[in-house]
Formats: sequence, C-alpha cells, structure tokens
Amino acid sequence: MKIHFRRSAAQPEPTTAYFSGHRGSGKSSMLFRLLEHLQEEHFTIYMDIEHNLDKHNSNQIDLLYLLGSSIFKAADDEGLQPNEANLEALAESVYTITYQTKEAKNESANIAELVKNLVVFGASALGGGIAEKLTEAALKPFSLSSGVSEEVARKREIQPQTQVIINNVNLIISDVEARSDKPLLVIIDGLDKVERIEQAKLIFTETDALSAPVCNLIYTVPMLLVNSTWFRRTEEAGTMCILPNIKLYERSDATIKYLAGYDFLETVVSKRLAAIGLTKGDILAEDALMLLSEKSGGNLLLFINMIRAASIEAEIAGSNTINRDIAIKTIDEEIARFGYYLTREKVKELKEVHSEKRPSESPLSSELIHGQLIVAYRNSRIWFDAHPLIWDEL
Amino acid sequence: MNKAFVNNKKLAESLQTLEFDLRDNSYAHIAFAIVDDIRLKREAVAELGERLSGKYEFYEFDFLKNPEESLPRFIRSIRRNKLPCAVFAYNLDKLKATDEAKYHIVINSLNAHREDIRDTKSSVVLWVNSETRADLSQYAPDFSDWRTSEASFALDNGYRIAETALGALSLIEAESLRNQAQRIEEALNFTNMKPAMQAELNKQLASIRKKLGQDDASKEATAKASRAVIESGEYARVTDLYCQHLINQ
Repeated sequence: MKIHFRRSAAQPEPTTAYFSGHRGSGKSSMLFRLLEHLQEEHFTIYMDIEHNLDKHNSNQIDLLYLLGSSIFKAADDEGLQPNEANLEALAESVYTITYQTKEAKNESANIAELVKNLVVFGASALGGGIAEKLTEAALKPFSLSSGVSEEVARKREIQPQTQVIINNVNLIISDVEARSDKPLLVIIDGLDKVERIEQAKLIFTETDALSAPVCNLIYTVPMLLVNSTWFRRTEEAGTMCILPNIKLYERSDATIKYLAGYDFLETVVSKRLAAIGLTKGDILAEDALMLLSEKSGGNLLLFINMIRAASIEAEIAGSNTINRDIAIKTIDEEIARFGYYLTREKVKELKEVHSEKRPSESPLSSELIHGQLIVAYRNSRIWFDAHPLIWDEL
Repeated sequence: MNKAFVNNKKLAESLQTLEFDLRDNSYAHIAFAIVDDIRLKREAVAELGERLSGKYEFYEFDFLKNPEESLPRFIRSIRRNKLPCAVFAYNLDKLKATDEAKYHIVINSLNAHREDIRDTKSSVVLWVNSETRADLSQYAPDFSDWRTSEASFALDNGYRIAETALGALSLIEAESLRNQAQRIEEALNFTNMKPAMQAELNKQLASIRKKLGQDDASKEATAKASRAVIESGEYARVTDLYCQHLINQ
C-alpha cells in the first residue's frame, strides 16, 4: 500500500483503497505507520468514525459530511486557513436533504463551530499527542450527523443532492490541496466496526459515493463484507488490502507449524516485556508461550489479552511464571467464552469452513467472520479457517 | 438570461425599477412586483434573482403553503448571515381564492408588523396580481406606503414570453447553482491541480451552467473537462463524461 500511494502522489488520478482485517489484527497501528511514511509527499489526515459519528446509524451521507468537514478542520488546525464558504456550502447541501431551506441555512451557519469538536489528526498531530487527544475525545463524546436516516439514504431521489454534496467535498479538497501544495491522503478508520451487513452494504456497495471524492482515500472495511460478491464491484474501482491474522500453520495441513508466525508473536511479547524491564524467560514458560500463540489464531490483540489474563491467573495461583497449566486454564476460559455462541447451525458451518478453508456466502458465514469464529490467513492468497480455539468443539 | 427583459422596453424598465431599488442592500426594502401572468412571473423572478445575485441571501415564502405562518415571523426566524436577506413572497393572491378570511388576516398582519420587517433589515419582494395590489392599498395602507419600489409586468395582447431553463428553477436553486459555479471557477484558478480534479470540477461546472441555461459556458466547461480527462487517462471518467455530454446535448 505504501508503494501504491507513493506512486499515486505523482500520478494524475488519485487512488481509493479499502483496508480490512479482523479486530485486533493491527490495522490502526499499520495505518498510522503508513501515514508516517507518506507524510513527506502528502497532506495526511487520519480520523476514526468511532470518535466522530454514530457508527451504528451512519450512512454514506454522514461519511461524506465527515470527510469534507474533517479535511477542512485538519487544514484549519495546520494554519492553512481553508475557505469557510466551502464548508458552509457543504453543510447546507447536507441539511437540504432533511430540512426546509430556511432551517438548512440556519443549521449550516453553525458548522464552523461544530467542526471544532471533530477528532481529526493532521500532519503535526501525527507527530505526537494522539493518545492525549483520544483520551480527551472519550471524555467529550461528540457525533456529527447529517440528520439523514438510513431509509432516506437508500432512496434514488436523493442522488442529485448527493452529487451536490460530493461537489462541495471536492471543492474543499481542491482548496486544501492548493493551500498545502500537496495531494491529500485521508484515512477513514473504524468503518470495519460496522456490525450490520445492511448498513455495510449501504455504505460500500449500494452507491459510488465513497469513491467519488477526488483525493487519495483509505477506508477500513468490515470483514463481513470482503468475501461477498457485492463488494467485488466496489473493490474493482479501487485497491483492496487485507491484513490477515498471523499465519501459524499451513493451509494444507494444520499440524505443520509455520514457525515464522510463532517467532513474530514471540518478538511482540519480548518487546512489550522489555518495555517494563522484564524478559520473556522471567515470566513465560516456553511450552506455555507456544500454546498461547497457537490458540490465539494469530490475532495480536487476543494473544496479548490471553497473556495478560494468564499473568493474572499466575499471580492468583502464587506462581512467578506462566506455566503450561496456567496457559491451559486461560485458554479454557477463552474457549468457554467462544462456546457460548456455538449453536448447531454455526458448528455445521464452521466444520465446513475448517475442511474447505473457505467460507460460504451465507449471512451466517459473514456473521462468523465478523465474530472471529472464522479467521482469515494469507499465503499467496487469502484463506479461511475456524478459529483454533474451537477446533475441539468441531 | 431571458431576452424579453432586454428587448421589450416595458419589461426592461419594470425590472430595472426593482433592480435599482434593491441593489443597495444596506437597508430594508419593501418592493411590490405586480404581475398577472404566471409564466411571466416565473421568468421575472428568475431574472431579478440573477441580477441581484451575490447581494442577498435569498429566501422564498409561499402564503398559500404557509397560511398559519406570518411573513414577519418567518423573516424574524432567519438567522443572520454574512449577507442581508431578501424574501420573495408569492401566492398571496391565490390565498384569496382558497381562504378569503385568512387572506385578510395576512394582509392585516403585514400592515401591523411592517416595523418588524424593517427592523430585521431584510428586504421583501411581494409578487402579487393587480387585484391583490389594490387590496393592499385598501386594507394595508401603511404597509403599502412603506414600499420602496413598485413595478408592473405585463405583456401585450397575444404575446407570450419565452420560457428559459433559469425560469424553471426556484430562486434558491438558481442562486445555489450560481454560488457553486463561482466557487468552482475560483477553485479552477488554483495552480498545480491534478487533471482528475480539473476534469471533475469542469464536468460539474458544465452541468451547473447547463441547468442555469448558459449553454455556451456549459460547452466550454465540457471541452475543458474532456482535455483534463484525456490527460488523466482514467477510463471511468471518460465514460462518465461522455454520458454527461449526451445529457447536456
């Protein structure tokens, strides 16, 4: 992706990219690193919809509104003095969908004040202070809303007005690109957390609205959508990148360990322990680490959380190290948590995925991917499997 | 532009009367536009809107659709922005045909609350027919006396005004499109703009100019979009632009 966007900075046509992966696979960290690498040649902006929209009810109009407003705010924060008339026109075009003219004009007059509440990271913020800003955002919950319901957002009649909104977003983009003298690169994170398939389809597959703004864009995409044929058309109009879980065994035979994956997880835990003045050998028995790695399914967040839970278990048991028994106890608790969701239908679907190494196109399969009972890995191509934690249940 | 407001001396003078009065936006105006022909009214509204473009924030008020809301209250509830506002008010005459009692209440309200309108520093252009104009003199004499200008629009017998694309738009739609066009043209003056953005903005500009009835400007923008598309080499934009070109034909 880095190479792709480096090339796009010099090309006449901007790129839209879609980035997906399981929760906890490290997408946000990867995106922050990508932004750091591309800061020189782009005016970079990062935002997470979780801090700026109601993620359960947002639609493509909310996203376009957020996109334009965030670009304006990031440019304003950087002292570029973007043209406020473009922002007001954007707000008015958004509010015109639901309000009468007078109310739309009245509402849009507030927009400059409203965007101050957005949590957006421009180039200088990316250098530091992100943690503080995120903490501040959590204390002052705010969500921008177009006031357009999902039902209205699906209507064909609003397409002309959607085009006006896109035009206004493009005017903000061209203004900011001219003032910064760099092409824009905007990352919209958090869209992978959209939980309802209908909402995900509305945003990503039922309209072209998200690829219409003329700047480099990266959207995170929910895993429940990426294996669907609906997403194919959207994907064809851009670039798709999936951050799979870390592979720990071969697709052809689960008993053949992929040791590079285990080494990577070991490096992660060693680095984290070193940060608090410990070594791996101080607290982790070798066989316990191997077992926790194996059962994590290659998901970094789950892996770290299991080690954290195991260390608490060890403390309760009065042990200085996480031994194999403690690891097994921790894993059993995770299995119990997963087991709660395992209905007969899900077990049947999971068995098929475990043997075929690919999901079906049923809504159940999408749900299982979203809940990480089915996980994705990658060799030369993406493949899927039931999560190692539940293999014994199958 | 509707050429009737240039070539027809009476229409040109009537429009100029309103235009010259309203051009100074530093104080509140009450202008009466008297017109019996619906088509002519639509074209006169569009033409006056174009001539006053950029001087006011335009609003429209329909007495027939809002019989319960008074015009002075509507004006008071407008949030003041950078530009002073001008409210074009229609269909008071039609209210007479549907609810005469309400019609008289509205006329009395205009008379009683004329100071409210003036205090908001907003301008009103009241589009009425000759009959309602006479009623205003009779039942709202003070409001009538406070008018800053008055113009009658009438056509010679048998003459029919040509309808324009601009006349088909509401005053607010037209002003919104003019504002968009202006902002796009400002943006296109920026240097170092990528061809993809040039293509997109010119494509939108062509569409806006077409809607405003400015066909030559629309063709010019389409040609610029085509050149930018060729430079960007993006197939999707070529097909998109071709479709737009067919629509604009």
